[in-house]
Amino acid sequence: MNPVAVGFDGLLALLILFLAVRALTAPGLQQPVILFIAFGLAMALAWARMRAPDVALAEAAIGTGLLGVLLIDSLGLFTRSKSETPPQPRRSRAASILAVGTTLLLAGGLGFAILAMPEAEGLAAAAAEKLGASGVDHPVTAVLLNFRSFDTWLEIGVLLIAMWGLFCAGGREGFAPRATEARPGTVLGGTVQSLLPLVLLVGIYLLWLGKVDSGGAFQAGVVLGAAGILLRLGGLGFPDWLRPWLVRTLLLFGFAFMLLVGLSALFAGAAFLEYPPTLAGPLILAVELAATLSIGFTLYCFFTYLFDLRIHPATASSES
Amino acid sequence: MTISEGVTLILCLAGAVFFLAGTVGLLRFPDFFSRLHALTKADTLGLGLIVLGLMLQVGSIAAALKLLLIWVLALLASTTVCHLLGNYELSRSSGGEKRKAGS
Repeated sequence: MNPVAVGFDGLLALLILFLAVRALTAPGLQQPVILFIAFGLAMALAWARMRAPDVALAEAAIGTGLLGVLLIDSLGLFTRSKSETPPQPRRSRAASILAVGTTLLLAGGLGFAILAMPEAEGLAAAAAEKLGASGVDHPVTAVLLNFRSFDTWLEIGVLLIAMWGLFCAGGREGFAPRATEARPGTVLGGTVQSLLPLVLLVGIYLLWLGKVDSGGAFQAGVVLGAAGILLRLGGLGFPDWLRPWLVRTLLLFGFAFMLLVGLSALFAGAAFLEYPPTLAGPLILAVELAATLSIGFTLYCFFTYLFDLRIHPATASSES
Repeated sequence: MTISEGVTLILCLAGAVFFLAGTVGLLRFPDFFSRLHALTKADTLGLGLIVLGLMLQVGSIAAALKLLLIWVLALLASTTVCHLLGNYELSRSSGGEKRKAGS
């Protein structure tokens, strides 16, 4: 093994542990959030080092980029009141001991479970064997959108439930189109303008790439969602033509489309979400397209909702 | 070692020196603006030198252009973020006097 690579990996592992501990122990709310973002970046690098580019992409895009933006967005909700400093989370000793104890117990249990598992090849060989019938050429996409498409369907459902939660917490009418302060002449506006075509291109490319290589609906959706977030930051908010019914349709679309595909498979006499091998390729592409749209839009809505809640707290809370 | 490998080594080391200088500046400089200055300028140049060094090694023009694109994007992002941070600090320190971004 290359000693440079071993040294780098060792440093990376130490850095991840250090950042994790610091993110948990740093005072206030702002520092832990920043440290958590740094932690996510280091994790993405670690996944890339372990040759899992799919996980690395997801970690960098969702776990770090989008979650970081949402956390910072939420921080703003705390700081919009007169006091500049966010409220200090109260830490009681008993709660800390309970949390540390539970975490150690869980980690120990997981470690034991992994060590106690019989040596096995896993399902990689089985997946590779059936790859020809899956309709795509990339094993990860084949697993996510064909062999275990049920899991992916439920993941999209989780996003939907999260959005539901936001509606419940902040009022469903928070999504009224608002007059926005477009600032086309500014540095930020100009940057957003020049970045946007490239961001859209990367999003579509990632979606298309999922068939043969690392990429796919979730990554593409996050990139498209990021394009919307950039637009919102650049001053362009919810457009007028995005009526509430259209918002709800877009949020539901991916989940509903997969449900429809799954049910039609049932009616055709196959299992739920089982694609006929001849149609698998086009079906997966259609499902991924629908999922990408909904995922991107949902993530964009998370951000915009929190962002607008901060700017117009009165309207949102009065309507809740 | 071939000549191109030597050039790569020199460029990447020079880039690392700039990164180090930028980080030391971030940690040691007294106020917000000089810290921001040290960080963004030195990192941009350091990244440029490292990208230039790596471009000599990748072997295909497409990959070299991708590396260049990464640098251009980092340049754009770091410049914008620097401007936004500077503007924010300026409007905060000048006692609530509002300054429009980009003015």
